[in-house]
Amino acid sequence: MTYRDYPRAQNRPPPLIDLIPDNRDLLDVSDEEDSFYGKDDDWLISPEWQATIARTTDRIPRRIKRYSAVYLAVAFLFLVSWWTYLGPRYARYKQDLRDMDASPLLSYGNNVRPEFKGMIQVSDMDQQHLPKKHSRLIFVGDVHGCKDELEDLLKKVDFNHKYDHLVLTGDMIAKGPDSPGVIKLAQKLGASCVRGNWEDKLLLSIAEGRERHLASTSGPDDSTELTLDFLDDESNSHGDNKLRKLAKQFTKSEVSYLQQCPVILRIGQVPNLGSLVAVHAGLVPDTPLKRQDPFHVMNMRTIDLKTRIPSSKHAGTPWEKFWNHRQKKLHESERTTVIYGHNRKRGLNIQEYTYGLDTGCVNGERLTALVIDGHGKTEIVHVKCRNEMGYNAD
Amino acid sequence: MKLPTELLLLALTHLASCATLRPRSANFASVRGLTSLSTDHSSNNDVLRPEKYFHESTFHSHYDGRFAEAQLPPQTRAFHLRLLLRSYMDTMDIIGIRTWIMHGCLLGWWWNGKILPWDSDVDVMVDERSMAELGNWWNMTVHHYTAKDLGISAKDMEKPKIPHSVEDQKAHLRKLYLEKEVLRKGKKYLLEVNPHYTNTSTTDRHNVIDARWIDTATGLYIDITTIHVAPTPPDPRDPSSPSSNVEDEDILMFTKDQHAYSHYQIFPLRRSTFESIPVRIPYAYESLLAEEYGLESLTDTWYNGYGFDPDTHEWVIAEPTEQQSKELADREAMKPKPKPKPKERPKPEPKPSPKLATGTVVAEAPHSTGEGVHGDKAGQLGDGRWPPGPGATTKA
Repeated sequence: MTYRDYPRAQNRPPPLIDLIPDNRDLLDVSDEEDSFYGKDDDWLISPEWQATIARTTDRIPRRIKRYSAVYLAVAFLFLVSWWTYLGPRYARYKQDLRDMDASPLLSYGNNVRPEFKGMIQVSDMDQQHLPKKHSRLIFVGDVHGCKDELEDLLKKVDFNHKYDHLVLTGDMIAKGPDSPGVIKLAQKLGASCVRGNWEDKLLLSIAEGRERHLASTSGPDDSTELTLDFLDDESNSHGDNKLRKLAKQFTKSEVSYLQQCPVILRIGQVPNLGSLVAVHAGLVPDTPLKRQDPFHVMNMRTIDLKTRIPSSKHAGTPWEKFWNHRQKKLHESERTTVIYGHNRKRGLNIQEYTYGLDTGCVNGERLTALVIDGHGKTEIVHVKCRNEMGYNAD
Repeated sequence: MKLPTELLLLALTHLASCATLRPRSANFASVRGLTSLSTDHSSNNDVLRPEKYFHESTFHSHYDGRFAEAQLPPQTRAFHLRLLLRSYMDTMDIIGIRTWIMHGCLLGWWWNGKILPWDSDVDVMVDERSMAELGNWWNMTVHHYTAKDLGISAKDMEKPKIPHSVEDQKAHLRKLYLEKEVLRKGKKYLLEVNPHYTNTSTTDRHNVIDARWIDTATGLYIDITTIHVAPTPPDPRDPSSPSSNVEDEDILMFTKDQHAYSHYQIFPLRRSTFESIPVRIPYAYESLLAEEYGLESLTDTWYNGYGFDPDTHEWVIAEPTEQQSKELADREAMKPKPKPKPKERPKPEPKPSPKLATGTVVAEAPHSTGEGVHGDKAGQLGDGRWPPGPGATTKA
């Protein structure tokens, strides 16, 4: 018995379903045809394509499909950043690599290296100082007259005069409180040194003053004279009063110690590290040590990759980047590791073939030592500067 | 009553001539005893540039017309330039004047310690104190150098082969004659100081050279310029106090030919040798060269018809090698197109400035203004606006 047959239903209004008009003949759809269950026909995309799209999109989980807008936004952001920032950066990086690999003919270093009076270009460290079982090599960056800190540092690394050897990588003097003290200490310990830009300036000024002095007195150089009295001469004042004041603090033996500091100090072969070289500022790759320009060795910070001309400016490609890149191209036995200072802004800067040690002690930061033992193991040791404000704050 | 009128007349004529008289270099009549010439070959600038002190020759701006009637044959010019430089450095050393080489010389020194073959002059600088000493004590002094003093003997003279063409033979004979003269009589050098050296303003355009060291046999000379300390601008917060506490680094210096330098670029001076003569070199020599001639001047081994031989380390006349011309062309292509300049300045002597067209051999083009206008625009001051003007105090 159906509902309609139910007698009490007869008087009732017709069920609502009957009120729905049945426009069967208007609607041209029949659920008996296949197309009723098929997908809507899209005239823009051919069915094969539609099938392919369906096949692939069906595989993507719904959860992911839901976030497609976010993905689009991210992709767009990436594109924009590529166009504006990453792309040019990448291009520059590629260009740098190309420049570093190229070897142009018209580049720096074709000239004959200028020869200077009173300047030693390259010398070798005494091979007996090379690190052995119990002895170590200790490199200290720009001391700048911070004698107390140097003493602290030597105590911290447990420096033993008998076994260990100290190498100062230039700029031992100037700016700080006790420049002559540092040199005295270096002499006492028999330390090796290289000529930094400040030693260079000081020695040149002293040489100039001495010449003037000789020219005016026209007597032979009084070699017994211990101090550099002639620097009192007003005659050589040329705006460089500070330098003159500094020069006057030194005795003759200290000046002759500075004089024997070479621009480039060849340390020698150390196991695991290969051949080591100490300079004050940096070196140009692929140029023999004998032909390096001494001014740049004492002053460079960056290098122009196109012309290979070094510069003392901070902006540009750091020379050590170029150096490391070129060392990796060389045969292992020809690679050289450079230990240097000079670049306080970069601070401690250790890379595979370069060790930058200037940590700005005189400015109130730290004094750094690189300790190399007989096995070629390296260790970095710091001490804090005693004067937190730095010595040349005034 | 006759005498006073005559005296008055005499005084008047004297006054009249005085009105147009300006200091200028010793005239031909006064150097008669020194020169071998019978007529003056100086260019006459009395009308065009009456305030100019030194007068170059009519035929080339790097010769003194009172002592030369023609240019030297190029084969012997370097020889006489070397002697000129040696005698100058030697004299300055003896009389205690601090002097150093600059410009084209410095570039030659940097490349191989020798004078560049296309360079026809020598540039040196002195400081203010030294210039005053030269002016006060050594002006118009003649310094005699024998062949021995100059370090030459008959043995050193190469036995040259006689050239074929008549032109070359003439030059060759002249060369031999001049060299014989040096051996026989030595050389006399004249130090002449421009009295305008006390005027340190760069607006004094015609007297940018402060002194000259002149070879009285050939008319070649060395230009001596003074380096001045630029007046420090007063502190804007406290204009009354002169800013005295300036670090060396900050001291600006300039020369009258409108080059600006920092104190630390020049001082302290280095000692080196140039043409095996002991000379002084400015402290930051390479930065000076890069500023004046561009970085290319330190890298290019081919310039202006000359190539740098990597084996002999000499500049020799050469065609650029394939690799060189390729790299030069590549660089030319990389360069951004320069904007057309409103006014083209006359190009000075062929110095290794990269802006000079590479590929054309510039041979001894006499330049229009005379007194060494040096190289490039780089490192030069503006158009004479600074220091402020004539009479500005420059001693800090």
